[in-house]
Amino acid sequence: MFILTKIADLVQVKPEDFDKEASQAIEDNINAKYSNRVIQKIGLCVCLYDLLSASEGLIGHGTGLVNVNVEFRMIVFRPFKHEVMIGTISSATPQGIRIRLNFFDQIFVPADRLPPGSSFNDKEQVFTWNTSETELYYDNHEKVRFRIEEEHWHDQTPVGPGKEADENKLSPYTLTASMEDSGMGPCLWWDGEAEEEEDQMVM
Amino acid sequence: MKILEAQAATLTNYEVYTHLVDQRVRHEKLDDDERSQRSAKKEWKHRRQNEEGRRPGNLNTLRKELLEYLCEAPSPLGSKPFPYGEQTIRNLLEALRPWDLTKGEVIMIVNLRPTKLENLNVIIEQMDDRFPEEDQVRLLHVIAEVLGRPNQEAERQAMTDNAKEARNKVQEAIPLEDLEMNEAS
Repeated sequence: MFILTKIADLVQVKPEDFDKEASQAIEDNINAKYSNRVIQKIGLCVCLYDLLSASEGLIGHGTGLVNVNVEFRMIVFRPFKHEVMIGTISSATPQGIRIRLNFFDQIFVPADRLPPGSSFNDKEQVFTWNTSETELYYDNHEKVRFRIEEEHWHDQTPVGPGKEADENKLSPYTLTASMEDSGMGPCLWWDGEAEEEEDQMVM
Repeated sequence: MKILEAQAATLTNYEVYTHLVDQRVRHEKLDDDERSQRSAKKEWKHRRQNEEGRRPGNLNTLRKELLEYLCEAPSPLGSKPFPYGEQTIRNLLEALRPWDLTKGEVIMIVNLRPTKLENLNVIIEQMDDRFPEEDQVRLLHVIAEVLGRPNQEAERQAMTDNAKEARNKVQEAIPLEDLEMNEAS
């Protein structure tokens, strides 16, 4: 689910941060720039993992900024293909189910990636899975297991004048997942005992 | 910015978790020190910054959400007592040597801690072709031995409670939904 990415960058330390330890000032600077942001084709940056090297600090003309060239490793959220993860169902539409993790909510399970026999329940606005014996609900806020199938990147760099800007802005990083296999779907179906399942159905 | 290596290594949830927790402790201590230093010096010009720490806010938000996610049932990191330690991953690799598992599969085993055959089947591709059934059961035993066994009762309870709580929150926030439902009926 997480990887380390090696990055080289120029860090500019502001004079007001001169009372911090140098390493701490660089760490704060890097985190402020990258943390909780998506780099295209890399993933969602979490935070600095470790600092590999840093050059001497150089002050340029006209500003008091100290310029440091650094190399560091970053913790990045980037699930690999076919990775199994756990998340929460946030909502459902006839097109499919939306899943969110506390820090990332761009995961979508299309309706055709649900197990055969699944259908959308218009009254409850949830998906149900009809097995031969029972009807099981994909309730909202339920913990589910899913498999990552595809990732989609949408570059959000602004386009120049004259070019047509994309009207609906898409999230920079979205994931498509599936819940077809047995063992996928709400954790309570598989981990729970029989009576627990019935409990869920009443709710 | 220049990417030198897109993927230098892969991390398990446990490693990310310990890194974040250590970082939080370190930052909190730093913030406290800075605050007490300033109040001792009575530096008025820093009064604004006194209120909040000087660590970036986007990091604090993400760290809080990520730790919440990592600790939520049924994640093994949320069970008590804390099941993993420094040696756990090494021990697991040692114990899993007889099975020919890929790196991704081992990472998922650490992250998800499967306890049932259904869960293991999801993680290990084409498990039935690769391992005979007694091997699969033995694998489960090894995992439980090294990573510990979850308290399933508590885990299920926590999952149900969390879902209920979230549902209640939504209902409190949007009474409109109720109205629409009444209309429909």
